[in-house]
Amino acid sequence: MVSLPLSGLAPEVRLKNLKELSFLSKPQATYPSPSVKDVAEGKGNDAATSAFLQRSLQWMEKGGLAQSSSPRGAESMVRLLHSAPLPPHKPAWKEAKEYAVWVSDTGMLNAEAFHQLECFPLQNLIVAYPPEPREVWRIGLESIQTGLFRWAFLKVSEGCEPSFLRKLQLASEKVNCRTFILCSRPLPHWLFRFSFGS
Amino acid sequence: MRFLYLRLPEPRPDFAEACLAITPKVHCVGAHLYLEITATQNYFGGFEGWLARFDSLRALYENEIPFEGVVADRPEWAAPLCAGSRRLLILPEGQSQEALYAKGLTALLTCGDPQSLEAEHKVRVKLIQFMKQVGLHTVGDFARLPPDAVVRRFGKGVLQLHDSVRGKRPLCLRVFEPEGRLAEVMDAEEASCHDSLVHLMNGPLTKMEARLLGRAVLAKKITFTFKLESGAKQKELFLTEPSRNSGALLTLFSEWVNGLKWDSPLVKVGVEVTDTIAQGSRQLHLFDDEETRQLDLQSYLERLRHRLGSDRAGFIKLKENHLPERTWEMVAQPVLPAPKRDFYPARPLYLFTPKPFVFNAALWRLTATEKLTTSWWSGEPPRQYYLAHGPGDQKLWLFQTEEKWYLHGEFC
Repeated sequence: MVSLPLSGLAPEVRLKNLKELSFLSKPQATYPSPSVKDVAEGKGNDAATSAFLQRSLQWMEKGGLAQSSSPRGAESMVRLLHSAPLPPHKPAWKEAKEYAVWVSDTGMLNAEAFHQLECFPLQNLIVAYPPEPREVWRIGLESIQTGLFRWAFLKVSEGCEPSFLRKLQLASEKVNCRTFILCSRPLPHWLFRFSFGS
Repeated sequence: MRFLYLRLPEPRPDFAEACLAITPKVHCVGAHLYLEITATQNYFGGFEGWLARFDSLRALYENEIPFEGVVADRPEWAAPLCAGSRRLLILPEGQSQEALYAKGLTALLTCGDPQSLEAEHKVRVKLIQFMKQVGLHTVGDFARLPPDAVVRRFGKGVLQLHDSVRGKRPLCLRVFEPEGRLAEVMDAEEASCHDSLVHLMNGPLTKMEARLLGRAVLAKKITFTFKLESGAKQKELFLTEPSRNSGALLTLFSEWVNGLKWDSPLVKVGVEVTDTIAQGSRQLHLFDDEETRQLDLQSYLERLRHRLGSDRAGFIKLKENHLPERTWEMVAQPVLPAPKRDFYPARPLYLFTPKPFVFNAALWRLTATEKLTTSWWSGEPPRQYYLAHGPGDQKLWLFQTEEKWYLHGEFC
């Protein structure tokens, strides 16, 4: 790989290169953002709703991290998956053969209820229930790094180090994986494409 | 689309298997063999190249299998167009239909889906008699009738045949899957010396090469059975480097057989490949890496199951059970779930292992949702489920059995 000094490039090229750096291209989550429930039901402030939808569209297209810090995060996630606008050039995500991984440490995903929601094809979903929260983060990162999954749902009872979350973010963006973290513990918000509380 | 149809005197799965070496689309219906030419003709340098390849394959079986065949545009037209008398008729592309239309009505006996021809034979005989009575003489006369007229005159059942004759109904034939032993037998009475035995062995080994190629495997262990007048002897040949090259195997056999001695005349030699190794993956899709992804996914899941346990990782298979926590199980292979139920009670997306807890029902607003009876043999009492609305929009899913409260899930 040939690396050129930034100063030797034309300003517009330089700007483009800089924009490619993920932390600059990341739209910062602005608070308060509308709740997913409001977006799905078409309620709430129009400007805030459209900004939210734009961010979720970016997340759908480019991958990365999204967080729900609410204890009712799973419901919000399903609402989001139903309401999120899709890129026009791609097939509907329900029909596309995209694999997903669900990792959680406490409790279990109610598979039948999940199937009834028609949110994600069950035959394309892998679930893993490690006994410890640290394992959830580790398995989540491993799964994303395999590049096999386009969706990763991590429901975890404890937070992780910002450096680890950064790793998760970079891996998600590299392989274009949409990682959804359901965690009520505070996490560094600047690493998320968007996050919502309820 | 072009097909080569072969009519064999009896079903020959070994020959069908060898044909897989020249085209992956081999369909075998009893003693009828259909080979799709279009699938691989570009690979072999056009139709002539493909036919040359088939000729070399046919030469191996020439003395054993007297077959007749035809190259036609559609498989359902092939059988009536087959010339018979041990000849291979090659109809130019686009002229099969015309040739079929010129045939007499008896050609309808073998026209259509070969899988249902036997069952429909009696009906067809009667139908042809009736057609002759109403003034039809050739297949073309029948084909030129409008579909409405066919239904009116001969009934709805004949419409399928009419569509087949006109080439309007796509025919789905099952792709031949090779199975069973990889074995060949050779008469060795003519083998007077070591060299003649090696020469005779060339035929079975070449056939074996084609069959191994058809199965996309390499031979790892070969068992030779020498049938002598006094009895039979078995010898095994282990290949340190798996191969299917008949030339290399013949050289190996020649050197190996030199050291063997028999006490009575040799009658037959059987060759069986008893151990094989897959040669790479099967053919992948050109525009999609779905097969590779699935293989990678399987191996990743295997690692995960090994680490966490088979009950903690896997795909989900839904099961019929009235207890919510028993409606699924972990499996290693993806399973297509049953369609969505018409009615599904309000149940949370996330479940906990039910454990008794102290619940102050006075602080929560309870709504009874469902009552589930557990298995009588387990001795568990029935469960009355409630949806509990609490402070801060919290919604719990819990059940009560004999004054005890259990938290089972959370609407999260």
